[in-house]
Amino acid sequence: MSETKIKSVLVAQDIKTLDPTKLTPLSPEVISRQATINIGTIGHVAHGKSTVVKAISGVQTVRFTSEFKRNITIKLGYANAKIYKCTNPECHRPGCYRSFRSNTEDSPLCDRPGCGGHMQLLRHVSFVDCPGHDVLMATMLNGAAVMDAALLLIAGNESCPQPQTSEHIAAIEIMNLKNIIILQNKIDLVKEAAAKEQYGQILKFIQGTVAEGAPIIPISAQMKYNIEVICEYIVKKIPIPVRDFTSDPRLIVIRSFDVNKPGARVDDLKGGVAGGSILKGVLKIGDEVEVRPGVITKDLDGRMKCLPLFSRILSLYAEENDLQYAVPGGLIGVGTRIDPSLCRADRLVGQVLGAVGKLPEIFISLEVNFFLLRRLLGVKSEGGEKQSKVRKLAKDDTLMVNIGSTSTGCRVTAVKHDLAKLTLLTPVCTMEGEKIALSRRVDKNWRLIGWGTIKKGTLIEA
Amino acid sequence: MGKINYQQGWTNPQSNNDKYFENKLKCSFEQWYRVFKNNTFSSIVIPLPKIFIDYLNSDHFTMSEESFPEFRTEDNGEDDEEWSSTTPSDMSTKLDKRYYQSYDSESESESDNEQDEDDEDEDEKEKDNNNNNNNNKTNRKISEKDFPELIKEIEDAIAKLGGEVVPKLNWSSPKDATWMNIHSSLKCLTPTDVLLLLKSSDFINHDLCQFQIEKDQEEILKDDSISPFTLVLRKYHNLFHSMEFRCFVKNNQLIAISQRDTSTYYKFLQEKKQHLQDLIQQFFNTIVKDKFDDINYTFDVYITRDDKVYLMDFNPIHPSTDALLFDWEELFEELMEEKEEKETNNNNNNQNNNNNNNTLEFRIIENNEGIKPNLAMTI
Repeated sequence: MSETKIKSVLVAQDIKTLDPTKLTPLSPEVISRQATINIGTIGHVAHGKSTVVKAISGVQTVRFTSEFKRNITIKLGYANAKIYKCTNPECHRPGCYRSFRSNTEDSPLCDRPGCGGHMQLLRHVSFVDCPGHDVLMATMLNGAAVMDAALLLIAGNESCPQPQTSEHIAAIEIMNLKNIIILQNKIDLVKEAAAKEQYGQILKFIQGTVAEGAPIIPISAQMKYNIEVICEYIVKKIPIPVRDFTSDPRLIVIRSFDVNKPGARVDDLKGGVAGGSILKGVLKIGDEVEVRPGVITKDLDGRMKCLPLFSRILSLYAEENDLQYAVPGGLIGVGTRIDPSLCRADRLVGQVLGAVGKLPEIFISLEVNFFLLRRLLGVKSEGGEKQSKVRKLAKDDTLMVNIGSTSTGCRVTAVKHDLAKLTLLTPVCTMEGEKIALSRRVDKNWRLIGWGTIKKGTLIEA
Repeated sequence: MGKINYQQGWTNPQSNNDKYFENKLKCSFEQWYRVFKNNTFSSIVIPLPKIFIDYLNSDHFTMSEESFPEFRTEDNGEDDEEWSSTTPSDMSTKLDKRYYQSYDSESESESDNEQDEDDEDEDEKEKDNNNNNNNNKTNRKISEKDFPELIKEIEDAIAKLGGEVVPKLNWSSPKDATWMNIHSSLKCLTPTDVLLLLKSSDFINHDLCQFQIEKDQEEILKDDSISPFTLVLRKYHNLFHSMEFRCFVKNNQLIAISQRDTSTYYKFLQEKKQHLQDLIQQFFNTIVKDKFDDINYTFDVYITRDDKVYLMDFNPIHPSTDALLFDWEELFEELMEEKEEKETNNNNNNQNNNNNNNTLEFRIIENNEGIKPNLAMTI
């Protein structure tokens, strides 16, 4: 493969010398260009989530969004940041820790006056934005699959626990997230005594929960106070995720688009682009890949079938950095030869991209082993206890099912004890043992009612 | 253009915000479609009976077996009575009882109790229904078999529009519910496709909050009474998202244009920018200006490969309309003022004083850096 315009400030990648068995989530040639650790940000919007992300990543955050358009999505690749430590022993903690944007060079000069030392790149992290209000949505469980750790935000100028914080802790427990850092934000708005009192409240509150023992950092994202402590804790307290770089690569498509000018000539036409999260393996430029389930078409007899898509990888990128190969972590863009009109408007979302012939089967109905929540999470108190009780599954219920990171509709066709049969609206590329989440329409919103695992299912005819 | 007299018995719950509602009514599809028919995609407007609004409002959501598409499968003889195991798995014992219902034998009796409780709930709901309580809106069980005439009307409209349509209510399309569509888009080929999308969308719910039945009318209104709501079916086109733009009009002047798909960097837009701006300005001057019944509003356009401009939608100037690459405070500071704290206002004042109201600003995404929204795990 010819060398693409590689930015000189970043470490070069060379497919010829690539040995996946030697790669780690800390390999300099990887973290120079892409994030390898995904960190969820969990907290109420008003608690300053986006300000924290901005303070760490330097990425300007989302603009004013409509008040009623509830944010029910997980945003992966929302912002990436490189975390550095100054190599000069004269620089002391926590000031020796710094964070910069994802395209920053790997050993910038330390900005402490008179230091003169260089900073060393230690981590490249990607923030995953979780739904702020009215949690917990099923999508959060999907995101859990890709989250390695979470920052839990608590507003320092409110007493703890706020109802939403209890919900966030419940969410973290259900997602089984182990690595949590608690940020006591807006510390600049309260007196020291009040901050100390709240610190005690938080300690007491997290006792016996999954967050017990998590570090609590008082910060002010607005005043950029203690941001370097967050960086230090990300380096010291969040373990390096264990990644599988040697299996056949697999990427979940989170978005897809067509970048062509309308009416572009055939020879100018660029193939479709898919963006997603690599679950395992290494994707390389030049790899032959398959996208499943692919395009859904109707046969003459009225029955539907799937036609998987095949292509070669033409380009790879993470945010604005070009890549020769990509590993799990952050959001990876994949340029293909796939007919761009098939990729338009996120049409490939939820599909799986990976090595030809190595992807899982395509299912159209599932038998699942499921567990229902006792009550809905994230319910505002007005509805009362009765409203929030989760009704049992019944035949013919139309539900939302999240499988891996795919959402689709399903019909319940049979229920027995903790087993249920689901007919899917769209075929899904998945496998036995995979986790699913179920949501039902309650009070006009899709609410998480439980989750389960796939026992077996009906496959689409190949 | 006259004022809308919405049908008797329906009320606008936001009556404390009349101005907004009035503006919103002007943006209702059937209102502007009459005027701009020749400049937008072919559409059919179907007035909706009360029973269909009740159907959309109800949480009861079941679909008949035949409504889901049939796929070619490897083992067609699958039996619903056949299970992979008959005993409850031991997984449930590992789960935290605080959060999960249990199924182990011990709790079998408990679940029976719950069953009883559920029955009681049903009884209560019945009572509530008789009392005309709000509850009946979310609990009434209606299926698509209860409005066959409407289904037939939708079917005919789809055929008339060429077999593929995009649905919307008066204002919103169910863009947030494409996961409930077999093609992962808004493309509908059957009435069932339309129902699945409408029943799954938060945006549609938002539209449904615009009119409610007056309390004293609730018993008088029949299922086939026509509501102020309309179902709009528009001919489906596989559009280039890059060529959709939102335009902001203030005091009858086009003041701002934004790329609508704010999650993607389209390199080619950069070189076409001035040309596109000229096309939109000309379209505004000759087609939209003075013909839309307001002086402050937004309109969305689509530009084809041969530079033809199509109207897609109108929206009121209001925080509930997405300002995309702009901040509302930049464009309509005076309208947003109340919501802002004093200090931010001062900052904005300074910025705005430099802004000449007569200039037109066109914003597009100019690089791959820091693009965040719409990067959704699920849509």
